[in-house]
Amino acid sequence: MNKQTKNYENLVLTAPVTVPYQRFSHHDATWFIGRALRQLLDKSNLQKTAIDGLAVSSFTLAPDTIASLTEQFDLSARWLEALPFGGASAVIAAKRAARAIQNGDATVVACIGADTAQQGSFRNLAANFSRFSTNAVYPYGGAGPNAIFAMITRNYMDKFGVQAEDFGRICVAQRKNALDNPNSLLRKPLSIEDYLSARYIAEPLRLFDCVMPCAGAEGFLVMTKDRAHQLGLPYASLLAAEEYHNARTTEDIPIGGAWRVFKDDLYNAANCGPKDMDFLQTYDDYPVIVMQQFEDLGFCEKGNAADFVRSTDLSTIGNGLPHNTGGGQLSVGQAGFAGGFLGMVEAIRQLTQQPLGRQVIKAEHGLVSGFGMVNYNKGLCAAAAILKKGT
Amino acid sequence: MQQDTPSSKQFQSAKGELLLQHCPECGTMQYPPREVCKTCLQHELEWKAVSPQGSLLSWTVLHTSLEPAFQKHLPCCIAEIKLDCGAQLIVQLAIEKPLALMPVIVEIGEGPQGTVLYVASKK
Ligand SMILES: [Zn+2]
Repeated sequence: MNKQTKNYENLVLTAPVTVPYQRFSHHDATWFIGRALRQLLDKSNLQKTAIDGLAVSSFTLAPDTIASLTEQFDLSARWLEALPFGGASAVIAAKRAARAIQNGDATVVACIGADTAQQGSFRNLAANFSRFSTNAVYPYGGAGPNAIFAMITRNYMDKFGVQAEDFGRICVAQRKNALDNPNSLLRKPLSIEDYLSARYIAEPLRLFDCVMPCAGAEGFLVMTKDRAHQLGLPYASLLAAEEYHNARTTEDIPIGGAWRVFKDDLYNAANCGPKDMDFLQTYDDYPVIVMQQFEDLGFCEKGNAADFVRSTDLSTIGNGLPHNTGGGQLSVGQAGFAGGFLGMVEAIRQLTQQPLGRQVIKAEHGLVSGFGMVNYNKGLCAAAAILKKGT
Repeated sequence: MQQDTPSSKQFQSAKGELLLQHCPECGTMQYPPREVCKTCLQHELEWKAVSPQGSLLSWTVLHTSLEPAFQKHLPCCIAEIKLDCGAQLIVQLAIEKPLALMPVIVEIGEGPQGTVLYVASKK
């Protein structure tokens, strides 16, 4: 679509950090953002004054804004970016930070996704998520995203003959990947029988189809390759990144997302294809969306994701397609906006040999995909990036 | 929770007809309600009676709710329907054995806290 896209030559992602997840916290969002920023400094050996750009995603930061954070952390910045794109925010943060550095507007950008969680805070988020959802969705059962994704799941199952077990395979594989990740909130082995016998949340979604909201933070730095070399930091190169919002579709209920719009451009820019990916980190708020990413990003044809998961080993150390290698949000938990950063930070970890759980045996190219913002009846924001192990 | 803006008043005429937002300039019918026309961005919108008939797109039986007021009404059935005019509505579903694409008719009903809601039943 946009064949003129300039590449991201010499821009790298480095210093992946994670502030441990917890089910609830009495701290506010600035505690999680501040701890992530401190870890970024510790890991990179940079002074705070060396960070001149800050990109932050947080639902629970209000009434503060990204501008408030400069004073909270006594940080002067030349470039600030708030990213209200839900699960697409991390890819978009990396993309925009890389562009800012490329254009000389910043030199080192800290990208952070962070949220706190208190009793009732998820209800407040769902009830006040958008004008459309407050007026036209939430009054119908007050179920938040579960209701919309349940209906997307049923439609997808009917249309392509997908069974609950097929979604279960994704959840079971991710749980296996989470077992070695000490940051995962769910670390009890999950069998397909456990998956199928769990209670319904919103039919056809059962308990393990839904993420557990929690508190936590994820972060990484964007800088030039030269700077990373000077600092002695292992890094991942950004080969390509795309975002697209509110894609036009003729489907009444979506059977895919906006990845379809930019998939070819993404792979062309990176000069590689789905078969070259050593792992895939999808946005997994619900397994149906994982399947749609498998399809829309070219790992299988539209409607064939169930076959794909029946025949592909999705585990981190298998020889299929290592997928959501730290366990994904379905096992680790969804720390609000940090949830969208989980896949990106895990991808950087894998490509720099510093995973929290198991290391993908050969990790040279990886794809990270994001999805977010169910404003009314579909997710509006999609993004994806291809990363390569730094040399 | 419900915002009292021009764009959130809706639902039905004095005669009980189903009303949707309509743009007199370009003819767009839109839902959810907005302050401006989503097509031409013109701001003087009208409410127009539409056929309450449509078809069922998808549905879910909710077993959990974030809202205390709904707890004693669980499980409850929610659906997305498409009216014949093309607008897609989230509704309460009053059909025991729903089937995709079955014809439905939309009426105005009431939620647990007295909120006005769309309810779809078998045509
Ligand atoms: Zn108009």
